Amino acid sequence: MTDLARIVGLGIVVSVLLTFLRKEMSSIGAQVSIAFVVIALLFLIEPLQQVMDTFVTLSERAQVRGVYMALVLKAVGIAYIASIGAELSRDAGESAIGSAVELAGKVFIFLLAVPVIAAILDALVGLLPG
Amino acid sequence: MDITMVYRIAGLGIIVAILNIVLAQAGRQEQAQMLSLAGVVIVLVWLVQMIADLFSDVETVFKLWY
Repeated sequence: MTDLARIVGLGIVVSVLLTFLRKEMSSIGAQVSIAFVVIALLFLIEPLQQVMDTFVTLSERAQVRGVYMALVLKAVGIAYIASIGAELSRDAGESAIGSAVELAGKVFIFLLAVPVIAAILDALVGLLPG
Repeated sequence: MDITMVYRIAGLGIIVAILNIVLAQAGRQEQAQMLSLAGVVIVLVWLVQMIADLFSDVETVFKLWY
């Protein structure tokens, strides 16, 4: 709860500072907003770790195979990093770089999923007669 | 790694902006540009370290290493 209050207060203060910095010195203004996003996410890492631990425990109880759970966690992590990067560069006014970063995230998630897709196709082919 | 980093960056930005205005008023346009470039580079060095911290934390949480 204190962490939440801290992040909200910091957000308000940074917004006020940014109204000045964006006008006078837009380059450092963009960097301040990046720094705020990074710090806020660093604060969020610990609760996120707890959420992930809960998910892992639940999947163990449901007897999901660990390989698949690791795959899902990796995909979520890649999506997290890619969307942070894309939003930051879009915020700095470079939407082309933002979409390139997003595309990179999609490609790497697809590469992660390729073995699973191949396994599904193999199973389907095995089901077919003849 | 905490909140003070954001305030430090914002403070540096405000100082650089004010010095920039002063230098521009004094007719030293080139020095003003060099000053703003120096400010941007300094903040970038801080930022890169913070982003590296964030990425390593995300890697740990989502177990990207195996």
